[in-house]
Amino acid sequence: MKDTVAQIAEEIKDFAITSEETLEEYRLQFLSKKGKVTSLLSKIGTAPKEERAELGQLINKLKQEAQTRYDEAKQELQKSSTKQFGAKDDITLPGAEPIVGGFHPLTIGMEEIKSVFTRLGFTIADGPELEDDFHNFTALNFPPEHPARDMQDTFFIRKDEKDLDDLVLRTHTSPVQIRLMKDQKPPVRAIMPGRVYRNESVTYKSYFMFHQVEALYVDKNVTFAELKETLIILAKMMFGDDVKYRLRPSYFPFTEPSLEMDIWNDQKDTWMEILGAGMVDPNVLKAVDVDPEIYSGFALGLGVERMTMAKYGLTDIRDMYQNDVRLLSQFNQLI
Amino acid sequence: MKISCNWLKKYIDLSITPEEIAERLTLLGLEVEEMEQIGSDLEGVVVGEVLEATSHPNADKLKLCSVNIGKEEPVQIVCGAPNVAGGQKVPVATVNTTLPIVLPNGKPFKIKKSKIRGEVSFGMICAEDELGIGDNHSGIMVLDTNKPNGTPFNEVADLYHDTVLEIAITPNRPDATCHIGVARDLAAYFEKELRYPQITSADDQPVDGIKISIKDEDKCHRYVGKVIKNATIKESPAWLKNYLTAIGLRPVNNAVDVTNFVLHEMGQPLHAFDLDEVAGQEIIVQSFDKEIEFETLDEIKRKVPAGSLFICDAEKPVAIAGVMGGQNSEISEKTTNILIESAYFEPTSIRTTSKALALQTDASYRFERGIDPEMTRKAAERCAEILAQLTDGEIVDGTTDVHPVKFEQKTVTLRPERFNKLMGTDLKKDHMLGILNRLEIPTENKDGVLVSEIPSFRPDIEREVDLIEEVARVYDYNNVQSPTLTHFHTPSPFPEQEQFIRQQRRFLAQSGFREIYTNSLLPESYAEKHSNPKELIKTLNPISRDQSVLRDSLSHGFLSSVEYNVNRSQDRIAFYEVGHVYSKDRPSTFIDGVGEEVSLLLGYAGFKQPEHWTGKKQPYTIFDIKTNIEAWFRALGLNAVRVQAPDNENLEYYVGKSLIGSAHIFNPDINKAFDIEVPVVWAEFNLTEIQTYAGAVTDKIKPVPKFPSFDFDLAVTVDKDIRAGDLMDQAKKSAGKQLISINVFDVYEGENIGKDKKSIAFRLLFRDESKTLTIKDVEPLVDNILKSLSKQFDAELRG
Repeated sequence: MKDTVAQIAEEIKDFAITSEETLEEYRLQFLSKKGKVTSLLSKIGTAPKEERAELGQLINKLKQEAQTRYDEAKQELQKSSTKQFGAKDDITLPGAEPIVGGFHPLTIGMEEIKSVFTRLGFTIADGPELEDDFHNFTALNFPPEHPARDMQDTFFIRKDEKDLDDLVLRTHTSPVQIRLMKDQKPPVRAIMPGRVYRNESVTYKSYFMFHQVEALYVDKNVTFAELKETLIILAKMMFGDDVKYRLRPSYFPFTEPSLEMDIWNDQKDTWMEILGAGMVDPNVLKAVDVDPEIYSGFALGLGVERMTMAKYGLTDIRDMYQNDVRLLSQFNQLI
Repeated sequence: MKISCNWLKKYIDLSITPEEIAERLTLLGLEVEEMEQIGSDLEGVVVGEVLEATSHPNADKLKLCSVNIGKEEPVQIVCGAPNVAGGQKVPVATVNTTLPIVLPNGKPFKIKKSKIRGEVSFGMICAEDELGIGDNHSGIMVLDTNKPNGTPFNEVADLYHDTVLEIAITPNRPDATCHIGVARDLAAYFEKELRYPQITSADDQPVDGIKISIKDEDKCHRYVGKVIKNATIKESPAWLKNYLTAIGLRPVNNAVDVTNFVLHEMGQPLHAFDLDEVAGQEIIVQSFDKEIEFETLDEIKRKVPAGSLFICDAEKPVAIAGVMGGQNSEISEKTTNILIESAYFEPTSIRTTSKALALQTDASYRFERGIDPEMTRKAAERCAEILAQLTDGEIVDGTTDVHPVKFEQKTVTLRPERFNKLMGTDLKKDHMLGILNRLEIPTENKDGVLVSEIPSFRPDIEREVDLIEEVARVYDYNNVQSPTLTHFHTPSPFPEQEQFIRQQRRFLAQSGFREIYTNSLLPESYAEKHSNPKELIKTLNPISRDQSVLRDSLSHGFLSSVEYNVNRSQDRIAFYEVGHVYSKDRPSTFIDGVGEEVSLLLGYAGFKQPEHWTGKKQPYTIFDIKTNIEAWFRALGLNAVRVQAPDNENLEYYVGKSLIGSAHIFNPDINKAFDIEVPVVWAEFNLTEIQTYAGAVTDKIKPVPKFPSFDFDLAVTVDKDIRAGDLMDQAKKSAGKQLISINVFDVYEGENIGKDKKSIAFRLLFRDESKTLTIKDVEPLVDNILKSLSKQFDAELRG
């Protein structure tokens, strides 16, 4: 009997199951009621009594093995059967082209700048794009008929009307500084992002509207050194820790001393201006009833287009307003 | 403004390179925007000796030269010049030298090792023109020199070589609009002496025979006249022409060139009149209360507005003061007697005239910024001295100096501790004192406070903070150290509008819309056609009519962007924009009479499903936008919105009586400004207003319903002109609270229900909070709906 068991075990091992048909053949030969394994069980009685227990165990083990072999072979066959499919069940067919939304690069750039400042504890303030002369110029220490006004070619909405302040499209976001400080006594620590306008002809590097973020910090003991530190933090967070920068004196009517910051552009092998800044001019503080002997502050302003384009290596500002999907669709990052 | 490095060196000794000068000027606040090389030092060109010149085996006109260029071995050079001969010393451009001339193909002329008719040539023996130092091309240049072979050519030839700096002058630095002014900053930084030109002809007597009077003393504070007689007008000498050419000025004649020279040297604009053309030899400075037509020396007749200042002779205007001289008194070849004008004109007056004429000249540029009022006389005398020399003329004795408004000396004090408090530095008092004095701002330490006498060339310095800036810029901002302590603060709360707008942007981006930024200025023709012209806000000085009206809606920008992209084969477009819109009609926001609000637009163009194996091509429809709007309202918690359809292409969204937005189907027959052939739908909402509603709606969360809902399908037949939206509104009103939703699952029209009829099938969903609804509960509710629909709309139950 033991030999028979061993022989059947050998047969099971050697049986080639390659198809549904051979699988059925296997079942009939070994596992069916009349199959070889099942019939072995019925023959246990013919063996000597003392061998029966051992034999029973052997046969049961064999039966289990035979069944396992069957189950596995069946599973294997089913797997391979799924390789056959209808034309439209081919899962390698492409799904529909996804509809991907996204943010304009200027929003991405703007948010990045905002996030630097909000991490530094600045809040965000807003104001109108259509401004009066007082907020856009006079309170910011641009005297009437001063050549400084030529630095910012202005779109006028109302001009030289009796008893009415001129209205302009704001030439910078600085008027929000004035609105803010009229409403709120120091400490003031805010950024003012937004769209601004200059009456300039359109070229690859200038457009008659663009976006700025301005930052203002007014408190007791605010120093130029802190301004410098803030600028360095900004440059590093925007352009990486190894950014090379320099500060050079400049002029803005609403700050004194004033400066501009350049960063080194490796590709072009040249300095590139990224922002203007300075200590808030005492005349500006006086215009909003803040005593410049007690308080001091710094302001800085940067162009979102310039910063964003530098970051992404874009060179034509007109692309920012063309909304060409072939450009926009490359900006898929979530913010 | 252009500054020549050679010219600068007349006033200051600098042993640094032009690059280093440029870097320092930039860091001093005189930003060098560009550097330009004038001429060349001909690096790579050396003195060579022709040892032997033999004929070229393959060319009659060429010679093979063996040339000693100071190397161990002589080199072979092929030369085509007829005059080349053994024993000559010649300039040799060695291999890899770039010569300062441009080839016909626009590329620089670089010398390479080459083969000429089969013979190798290691360089070029040069003619004058090939070196850019003359026009002679008749043969190679033969040098008369004893210098050893290999000596750089620039050591044996007198080459003119200069570097010109283009400097951006900020409005606060009128003092730096000339070479001496720029040199002064460098002298202060490098602690060098500043050498002023020597003036020897100082003479206090007025000039005999000329009369000068100022009628408008507010506009002209000082007028100085000097006279040169027996002058010969001719070409200027090379040194003068070189200086002027370097800074981009065209040499004219010696008289004009000298006035330009002194202007760019000292910053004082000067004018030279032909004295014999000045009627009565009299100058009257005056303005007129009427417009004057005047021909300036550029031969343009200009209409000069009333109030502009003129220089007149006894009969007529001869110059627009501070802007440009007149044709009628211009220096010509025939001129022999010259009147030099040096004056101080009031900045605002010059600026007004210059702006009105749209004419900015080197003179007006300086006057309107404020020139040095104490320079007037010195400049006239300096000019006269050079002019007499160059014209072989004589200076007429005396200087007429009419000076009604005197310069008032200002004194400004600087507290050193104030400097350090503002700058966050620890600079010593003496350091500050030194810088100010080197800037020629005479300063003394008086009891610990620095007291500065502000010089006449610095009209911009009026306050302590101006002195702080002067010290700081020479100290160098880059030397200011980081603060040792940084303060932390409690940040102010984040503004709601900022957060709200950011959330809407995110919602739309994640709903599959791509953000666009469009123009805020619309074409006038478009805006006036599509909006009420009375509500529009226009710019008074637009760049063009196509960009002149402030947008009252984001639609134009959206449609422009769609048209642009459709023309570039994009057939699936989903855009959104958030931006400011303006109207006189809306309640004033910041500025009286101007409603400036934030608007949001979302829109589709083309096909939501392009051709694809899963199904047919499907265009975007208004229903796609409606779905997005519905989803957005739910995200906002905005559930009290009413929709109206004034026609079948536009929907209006209301909260209460207030219109908060609208949705549109693009109709190319109506909106002819755009040529778009694919379906376009969009909606625009007033975000400023919606924020006020959205903030207020915070629904309480209801628990999961305990009892199941009950569906009921109700199909009614109505006339075709009845709107589904109205039926649904009516159904909601008549059904009571248990109706929790209503939707349309089928719309049918066909002959069998009548030609003018349609059938709409609603799926009604009912639920009760306290029990399971059965058909018995629902039937009366449906009955109510049906009754009210049939009463209002003649609806019939569809059998």
